[in-house]
Amino acid sequence: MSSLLEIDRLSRHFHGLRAVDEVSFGVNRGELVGLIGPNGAGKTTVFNCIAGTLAPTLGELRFDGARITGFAPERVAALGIARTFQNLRVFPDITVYDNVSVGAIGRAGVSFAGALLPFLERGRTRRIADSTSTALERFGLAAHAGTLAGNLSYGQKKLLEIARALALEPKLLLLDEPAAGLNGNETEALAVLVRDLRDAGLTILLVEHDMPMVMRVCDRIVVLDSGRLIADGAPAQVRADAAVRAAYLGDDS
Amino acid sequence: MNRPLPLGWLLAAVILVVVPAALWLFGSAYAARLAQLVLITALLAAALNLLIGTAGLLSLDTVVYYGFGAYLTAILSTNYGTTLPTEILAAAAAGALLGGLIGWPLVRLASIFFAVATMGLATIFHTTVLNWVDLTRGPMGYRGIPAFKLGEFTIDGWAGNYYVIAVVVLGGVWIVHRLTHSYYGNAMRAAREDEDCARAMGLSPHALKLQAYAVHASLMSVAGALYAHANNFLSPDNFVLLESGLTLTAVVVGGLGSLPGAFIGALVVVLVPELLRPLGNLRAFGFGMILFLSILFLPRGLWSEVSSLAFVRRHLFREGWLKR
Ligand SMILES: Nc1ncnc2c1ncn2[C@@H]1O[C@H](COP(=O)(O)OP(=O)(O)OP(=O)(O)O)[C@@H](O)[C@H]1O
Ligand SMILES: [Mg+2]
Repeated sequence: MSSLLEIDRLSRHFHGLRAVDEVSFGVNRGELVGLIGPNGAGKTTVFNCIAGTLAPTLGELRFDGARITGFAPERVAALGIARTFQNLRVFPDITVYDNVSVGAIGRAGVSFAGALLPFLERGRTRRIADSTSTALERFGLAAHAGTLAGNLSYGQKKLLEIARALALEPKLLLLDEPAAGLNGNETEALAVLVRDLRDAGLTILLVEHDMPMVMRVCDRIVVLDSGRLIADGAPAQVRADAAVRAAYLGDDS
Repeated sequence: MNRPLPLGWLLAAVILVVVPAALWLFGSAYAARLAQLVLITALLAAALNLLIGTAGLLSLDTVVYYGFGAYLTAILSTNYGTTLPTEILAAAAAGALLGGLIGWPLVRLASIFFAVATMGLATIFHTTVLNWVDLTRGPMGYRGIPAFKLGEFTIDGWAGNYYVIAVVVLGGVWIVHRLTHSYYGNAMRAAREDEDCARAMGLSPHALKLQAYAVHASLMSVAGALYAHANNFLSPDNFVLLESGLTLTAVVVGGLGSLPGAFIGALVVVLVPELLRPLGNLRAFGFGMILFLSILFLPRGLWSEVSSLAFVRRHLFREGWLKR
């Protein structure tokens, strides 16, 4: 198995705080890796560094064999990394259809000339329309295509974010706490969905506090604590790890 | 698949047939002049709507590009006897270029800072026009701008003027229509809603905003070219900050981000003050009151972005432009 994403001694400091401290791990093609750890462990900061939202203080990131350290977010997205956000970031005042189309637009691109003279971009337009419809249907959002995204329920907004990210047709999907705030049934459906995506060949890095879900769906789990990597292994192995139990899982799990 | 919208045909029919017929039957020179002014204002409002409504950049620099195009055309036609196509192309190209240069640093500014910077531009422009007497004839104003010329023909009379303006304005509005009712428009709206998130989706908000800014500058400059000929006379007083405010009012009253709203807004800001003439000294008071109350009670304008997009798209879907 070859690595799709390699994180090499990644550090990110905030005014002396080592939010991420020399973290190294890889994500193989087709693998579903969980990234867990207590609040403030640095999980979202790792995501932000990968996605280009934050520049790493030190260390290197490689994607698909090429260096992406410090790339701008739009460049990282164009290379095939899509993400969702821990605090919901749907575009509230445009429709569900338009929200999802933004991902597809990011993939296919749009141009000023193409907007004025549509026949120049018929192929592109069709591709955007197709991936938008596919993503909407896959997440059961087709019925709400014309609704303003701000009017969806919390659970639907969470799905919308994933649908939008998938419309980018990424090689790597970064999910930041997709189950947070969902009820039991919704979490169950989400777990199935994430697993289906992985089985369809997508590589996924999943940050999640819902331990049963993480233990069940992930192929491998990486554990952070206070910015440092304290474990990296199969779910059973991580669950049994003494350092992980002390830092995060507690003795009862 | 490439059929224009029924709505577009309706608009074109009203502007090219119904209004001229009504002017011809019942109108006066005064009414024809108002009709021309409504059209020019509609183009300004459509251009500003692209910037404010769709791209989310609150701008008060309308008079900069409007005035730039107007003076450029006045100077070209007076000194070089240029004809209409040259003038429109010159105004469009020079407006886009100027907008691109100014926009490059400008569109990086966030919301309120952007607005204040554009206010500064409007003031700089007015002062320049007032004081660069050699070029603009300063406070005396630019008199005797020749009529529209098409090849060897000089267009005089209200009907010719009206049709020139109508065709150019419809062309400009069509450009805004294409930009807003396409996936390109979706990209701009996404950049407006959440810049960081749009970037994470692979879009480049700076490029999108810069393009919107340059297009808006270009279209406003063209509107200025029309105004220079239609009015024959330019004064620095035509291009003060308050005029930017009036275009902004047209956009907000019509509905932010809504193209039909641009026409409705232009009608309101041009015609309502005229209808209020009988009020005499109370006219400005009445106009202000109407604006104030309409914003209080209709914060989304007379025709909101959401309903206008939904309305226009019903046709786009039917034609297969977009797919559900
Ligand atoms: N932009 C920032 N500026 C300053 N400090 C930050 C910034 N972003 C994160 N931090 C700090 O870095 C540390 C790691 O935060 P991060 O958000 O990565 O944690 P997390 O593992 O995602 O936690 P949670 O499970 O609560 O989401 C925290 O102490 C946080 O306060
Ligand atoms: Mg987090």
